[in-house]
Amino acid sequence: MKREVPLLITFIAGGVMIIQFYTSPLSWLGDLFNDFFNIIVTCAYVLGAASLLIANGRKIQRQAPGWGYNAVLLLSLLATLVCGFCIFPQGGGEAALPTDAGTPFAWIFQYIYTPMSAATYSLLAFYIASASYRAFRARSLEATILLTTAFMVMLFRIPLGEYLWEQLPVLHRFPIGDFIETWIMGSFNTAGQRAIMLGASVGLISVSLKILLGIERSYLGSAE
Amino acid sequence: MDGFFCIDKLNNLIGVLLISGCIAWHTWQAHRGRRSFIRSLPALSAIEDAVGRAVEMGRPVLYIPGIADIDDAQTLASVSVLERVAEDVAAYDMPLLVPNCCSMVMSMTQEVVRSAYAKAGHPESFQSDYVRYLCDEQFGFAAGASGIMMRERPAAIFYIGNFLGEALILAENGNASGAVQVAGTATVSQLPFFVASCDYTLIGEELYAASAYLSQDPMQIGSLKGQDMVKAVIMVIIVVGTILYSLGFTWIKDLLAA
Amino acid sequence: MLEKLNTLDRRWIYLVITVAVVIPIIFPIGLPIKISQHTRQFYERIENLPQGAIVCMSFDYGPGTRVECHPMAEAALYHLFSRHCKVVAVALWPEGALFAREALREVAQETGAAEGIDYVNLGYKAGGEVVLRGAGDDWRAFFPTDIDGRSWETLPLLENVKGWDSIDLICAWSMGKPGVLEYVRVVGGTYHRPIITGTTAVTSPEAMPLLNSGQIEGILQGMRGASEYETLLNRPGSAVRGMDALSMAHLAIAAFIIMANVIYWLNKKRGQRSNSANGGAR
Repeated sequence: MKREVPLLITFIAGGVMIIQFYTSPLSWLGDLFNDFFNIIVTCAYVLGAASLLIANGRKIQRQAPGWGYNAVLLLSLLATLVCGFCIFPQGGGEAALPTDAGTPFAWIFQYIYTPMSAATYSLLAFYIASASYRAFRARSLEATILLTTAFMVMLFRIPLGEYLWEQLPVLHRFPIGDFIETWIMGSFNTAGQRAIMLGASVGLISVSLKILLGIERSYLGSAE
Repeated sequence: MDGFFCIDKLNNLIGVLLISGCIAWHTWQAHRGRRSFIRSLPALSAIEDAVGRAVEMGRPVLYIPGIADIDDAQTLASVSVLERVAEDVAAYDMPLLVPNCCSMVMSMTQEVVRSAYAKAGHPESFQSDYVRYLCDEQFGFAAGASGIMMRERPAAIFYIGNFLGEALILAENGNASGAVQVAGTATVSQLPFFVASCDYTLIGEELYAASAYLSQDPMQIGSLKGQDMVKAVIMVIIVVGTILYSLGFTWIKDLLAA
Repeated sequence: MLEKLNTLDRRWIYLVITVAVVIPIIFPIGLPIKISQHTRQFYERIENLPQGAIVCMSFDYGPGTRVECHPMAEAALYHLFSRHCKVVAVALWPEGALFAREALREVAQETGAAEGIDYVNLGYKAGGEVVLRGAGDDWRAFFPTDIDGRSWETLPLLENVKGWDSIDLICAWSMGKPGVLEYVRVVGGTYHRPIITGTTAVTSPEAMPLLNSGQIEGILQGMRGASEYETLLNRPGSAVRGMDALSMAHLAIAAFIIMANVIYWLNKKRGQRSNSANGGAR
């Protein structure tokens, strides 16, 4: 029963979602199931918070190496929760929310969360450079084609590359930017992307079918 | 939309029924005993070697199931790979760390890893903080997971599931930590990064085929044959459609249009 | 020496990239920016909107990709308000609603657009694709108030907004999921509304098939797309300022690729030479 009931729920929920997609009077069923999903996801945040508290709390309790960082994490979590739920803007009226402009939560968002997130994203520039240095080697014919294409896209899709190209005698008559945009990006790249996307989409349908029919059940855990 | 049935989705329904029918037919054929060949997928064959390396070095294995929630098929496909990795790791009584970006996925992966340790006869070895929730925000998650790589120095790292902009951050940190890296995603924009930084990569549909490959279940392998048949039909439609459209006949395009 | 360069410490690479990015920010070069066909197509799509057209602008990005998406959003708002179009902002990402507020306030100050009459910010709604389907023909049921809690009646712009059919164009700033793909599936597929988008440079190749198939009618690709759009509008902003740094970073990476291949080639030559020397000794 431990496995049969979840499999039955999966089959019914999946079947309902498919039927409501093709039948307009039953679309409310889809909305209802989606509401259920959203409620469950929201409740699951409590699980996430509990996991954070337990994992970090244990390290602080044991005074494991680097426990100070765990303490910072928990303090930040609690401070953000308090600001986001409890501190309302002064004189904002009934409709005012703790997330409105000028509140501590908005300050945390603007001056801590946004720059930290942007800083992590900006690391990509460094990682792209180190990965390119390591990976782009002309080891074979295929690797050389890949390398040349990547090199052209990287260099001639920026103002500096276009400027340098225009300084070349004779060659500057050939519109390198249009060639990259229309041929490399618009044709070869798109064709490859579509092939992978089509294959992945068929795979997706197959996995969905296997889950609906109960052939694929890994998500329920191993059968002990 | 006309009446009860959305008539403008008829072509969609017929397509889905034909594709599903083809896959179901081959699955049924496999159930009746017809065996199919499945080509080797080096990324999945490398799982055993990667786990063996971790055992030799006495270091943990790190598994990241992507950043998407439970409603993403890539996450579900990832869980089937996790099941196999967890069984291999648990058999050697080694730690398997699974940081999660979504709480719902965490509860699922926790169950999978816990049952793998129990199945291997080491239920006491499973610790609740092996499988933990880090952060819902992708770059916060990337920072947390990279921290685990640098502190715990895992011998093998698996990135299987849906990844976005954080893919390269994770893979480059993993590379710097000296781990063997196996990746798999159907998110096309992140594939080049994994190919550049990881030792093995499952590309697109290979991720969805992983479950069949690892389980060697004839029914699942049969479904792969069905997928191949569908792809063959799509290829014929593309070629014929391109020729007809170039000649001025647009009916295939009109038939397939949403 | 060759071996050392072959296994170059990645921190040297990081240092060079840092220098390549920082110097042009401090000392701008002001390289000319050429307008690509895709950006022009995006610009024309907005240019062809009639006065008073209602545009739904979806802010689906987070702080990480703000640097690429936010300049696009500000430039598009400027373009729309200059053409006397109306904007209804929504967000499928929680942070997007706050960026929408920031962009709307800034551009409204610049153009004189009035809140409630020329633009409304309906804020964030959780659920991604579910929101787009759920809003359907009755937005009011799904978004009973704007981001600041003002009711539907107090916002004159919303008098003419019933559902997706009331929207003349969807403009989605998209960096992942949920994003433009969800709009194409639901709003394009079911309600047949035209869609244009702005994506990060990394995710733009994924959106290209949608452009070729006509499912989206315009695209701005990353910071380069944003800088071209700002140039077209004759309103240089942060994207134009960032292009010099981007150019230098690309140039540095290209130089590293050349260096890596020269080292690889020299190593290979040396290996062949020592192999043939060993063979001769045998």
